[in-house]
Amino acid sequence: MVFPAPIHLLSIGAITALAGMIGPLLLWRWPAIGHWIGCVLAAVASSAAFGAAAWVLLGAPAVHVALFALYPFGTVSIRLDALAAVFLGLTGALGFAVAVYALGYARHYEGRKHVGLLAALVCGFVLTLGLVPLANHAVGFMLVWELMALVSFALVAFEHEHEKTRRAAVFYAVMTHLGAGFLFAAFLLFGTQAGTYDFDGWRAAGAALPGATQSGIFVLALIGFGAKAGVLPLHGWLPEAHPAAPSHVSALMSGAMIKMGLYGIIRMSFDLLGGGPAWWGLLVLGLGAVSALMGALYAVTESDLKRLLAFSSIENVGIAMLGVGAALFFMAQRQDAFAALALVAALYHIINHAFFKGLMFCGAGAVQYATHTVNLERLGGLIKRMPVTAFFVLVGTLAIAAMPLLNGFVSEWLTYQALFSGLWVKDKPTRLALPLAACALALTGGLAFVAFVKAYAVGFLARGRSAEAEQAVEVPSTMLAGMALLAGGCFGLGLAPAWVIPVLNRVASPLVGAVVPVGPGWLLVPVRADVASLSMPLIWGLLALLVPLAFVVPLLLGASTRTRIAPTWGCGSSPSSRTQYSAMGFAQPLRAIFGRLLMPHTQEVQVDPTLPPYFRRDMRYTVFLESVVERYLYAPTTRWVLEAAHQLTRIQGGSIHLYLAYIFVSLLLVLLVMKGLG
Amino acid sequence: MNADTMAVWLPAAAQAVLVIALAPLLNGVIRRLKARLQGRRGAGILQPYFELAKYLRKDAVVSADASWLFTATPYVVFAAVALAALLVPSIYLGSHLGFVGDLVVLVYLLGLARFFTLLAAMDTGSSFTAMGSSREATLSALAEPALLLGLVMAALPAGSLQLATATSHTLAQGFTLSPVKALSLAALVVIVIVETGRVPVDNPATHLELTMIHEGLVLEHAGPGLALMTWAAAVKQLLLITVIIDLFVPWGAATSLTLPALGLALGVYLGKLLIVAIAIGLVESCIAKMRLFQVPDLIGGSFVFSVLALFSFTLLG
Repeated sequence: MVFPAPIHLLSIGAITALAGMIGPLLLWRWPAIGHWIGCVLAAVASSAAFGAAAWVLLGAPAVHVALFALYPFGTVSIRLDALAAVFLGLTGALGFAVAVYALGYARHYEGRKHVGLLAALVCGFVLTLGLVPLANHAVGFMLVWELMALVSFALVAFEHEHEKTRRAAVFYAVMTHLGAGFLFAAFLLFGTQAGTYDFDGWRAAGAALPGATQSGIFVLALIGFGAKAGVLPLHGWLPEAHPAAPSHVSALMSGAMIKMGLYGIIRMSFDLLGGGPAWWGLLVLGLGAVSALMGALYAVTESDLKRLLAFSSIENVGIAMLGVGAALFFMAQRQDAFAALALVAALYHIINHAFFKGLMFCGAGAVQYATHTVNLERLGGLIKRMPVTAFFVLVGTLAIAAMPLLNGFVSEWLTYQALFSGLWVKDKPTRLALPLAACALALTGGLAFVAFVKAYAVGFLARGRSAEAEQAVEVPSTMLAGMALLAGGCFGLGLAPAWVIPVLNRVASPLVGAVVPVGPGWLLVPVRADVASLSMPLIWGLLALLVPLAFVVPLLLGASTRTRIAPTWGCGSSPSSRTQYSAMGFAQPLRAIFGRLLMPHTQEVQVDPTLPPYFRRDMRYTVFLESVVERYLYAPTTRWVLEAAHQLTRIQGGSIHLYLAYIFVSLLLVLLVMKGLG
Repeated sequence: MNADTMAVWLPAAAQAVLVIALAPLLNGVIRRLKARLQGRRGAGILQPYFELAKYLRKDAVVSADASWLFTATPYVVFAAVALAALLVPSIYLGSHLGFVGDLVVLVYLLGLARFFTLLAAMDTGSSFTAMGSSREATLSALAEPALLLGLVMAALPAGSLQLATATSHTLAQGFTLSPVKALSLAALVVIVIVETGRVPVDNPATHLELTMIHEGLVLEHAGPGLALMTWAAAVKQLLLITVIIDLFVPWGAATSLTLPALGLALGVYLGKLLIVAIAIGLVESCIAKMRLFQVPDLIGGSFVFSVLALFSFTLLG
């Protein structure tokens, strides 16, 4: 063969995705057919992308193809190495499941929206998502990065007839372009210092750059990529954009797109710059800890399922950042084995999050499809009316709450091991900083646990809280199939970490020069066998033995086998759907405990004053959380920008001569500055 | 199955059965002691077993609103706690199943049991059990990380997250009262009180809505389901106490599989448990229950102890 085989798959993927973008637009008058074709082509493109990524991850050499010359920036090329393959692969896997899911989900929009357009946009989204990790040139990267932002903006604004959606889309566009601005700055700095815009050139020159330049590039890139990843304090767009977008798009955005921010951070810091001083690691670690904690805290108090999931994405990005930060930190300390462990933990968590968050957003979409709401206070009892969906969401909930059955636990456990490894190092700052980050991770885990217990319990158990929830029916089988694929991924990634870690080692070994050992018999021993170990197959095996035992042993002890069905005891009154605990009530104690951070404002009871006090019918209780970041960062910044813009209006005279003079003066200034610099 | 595998699995299984069988007895002893301290005669120490037998013989009553999750919960909860019991050695330290999972796994297995307990409590639609669920969730969000940290700090001097490694390190070192040990012991004692639902955090003798957490949580279970939930809670309590014994005072436990050694170890273990029971009985009789919103301060105290242990390990060690 002239070309290595993954390149064929990449070409097939790109061409089918392009066809999937154009096809539905050509079939504009037959949206249903266009949608079907778009979904099928998206599935084909995704599986091609997954195949190419898997090929490289299983040991094929990196693919490197020059595309076209771009004067004066050199040759634009694509490169599929192991790191890119992880992100391409998760895009492919998630894209496939989402495409299957979308076949049924589009009926939610039939008659209201043009579903063919939706499928075309999703195809474009999958295409740009796949191209971002492939780009091997600054200009090519910024091009696909901005295309990805553009397509996702269009998807967030898909239901633009709602005022709220428009606001969310604009907010998202502003934040993402703010981030892109920082990226431009980082890339320009790198390009001028390295003398090339090619990533290969950067890889060669990056490690030799002066320390201050490296740090400047790193911080600018961290802000730029962090805005896309939803790292605090640049997270504000996530809880707005995710609920506004169609559910399967939210799954792609949360599962794949925000990961591209993390991809950028890893690519820039480990690969292109070749590591840096220890404070880079501490910075990433700190940002990760804050994002994880605050994300989990907001998720606990949220009653809108999709917003809750969005906050949980911030939390999970934070957890991945803990791994990335620890890896950077260990790398600076020359603890290569621990750096590999931390990086593998972060990558594992990134992949896992794509699966369980994709599953949860698809589940939320199924709930929305069946009940037309994702407000937990209007849901309930769905486990009886939508049993299959409820089962898959339970799988997602177990995974996301890091219960020791599924994939979420494995990557969290690896992250714990990476952070606690700091204790086994001689260096004192390491021994303090990393375990403290582990404290943050533990608290995050505790809070996320509550958030998802609440979401599942209020959303799916007991009685329905509205007529829509009471009358919900199961969703179409294609939607269930999409969720089944993702749930299967959660199960497989949870059961067989001993197969996944060697694959991720292929990413870690060129970046940090070490690998994570895997013990015999599917045993995970990331440090040493007498330090820590985990065997997921044994946990499954023992539970599969113990659950039936717990059933049989009481029978042998003479347990009764009869069951009586009776109404729930309601303290003397008859229980109704309105006497059940609400999501807001469930989270009330934690809202009170963390009141300083959450800043809840409660609006008390509004009563009809004409009724006597014993018959208060019209009772309302509103809790509004004020975001710390919005109050102390976004609001002052917005005020400052508006004020500055207002001041600028003073120099706008409206006369063309005046503007010509401005242009002339600016030109002179630029020339003078350039002369001074040159 | 060859002899080596048997030598690892059989003692572990036997010890798990021992802990599961002894768990209600500890509650019986504590109740008897409390009754005596309060001037009552109290029931016999075997009373918890009679209660379990009674629950087992009763029919299950399931809420009309509940789903399969509610019915499955007691079995899953008991299995998760029993799996955790397999990981904790009590009288014989020579073999262990530590390779299945370390201290982190142990904490998360108890978390799995709690996950299903909380969901089942919400599944009946009763606001009473849901209140217990909300409170337990709130405390667990804080207590679970504190427990994890306390355990890690206690195992710190051994340089390991494995319970067995930490135990043998303590045995080899002999009795030393290092700051790390003292601080992590303080952290763990506080958190075990929270986790096992004892005074001053929760009152195991009541399910009044003003005071209860755990007892309210299992209120809707009946018959064999209630028996398993109650039993699992007792096993969890004994398990956490056993972990503390393993980490701080493992002396007396058998290191060889001979009958005299095992008999002695069992006697020493029971003696240690009696001391713990007396301590719990005294504390519960002397201290009033805290208000719910004071408990986070208590857990915060445990956090502080753990972080102090970390600092002392880093700066002194």
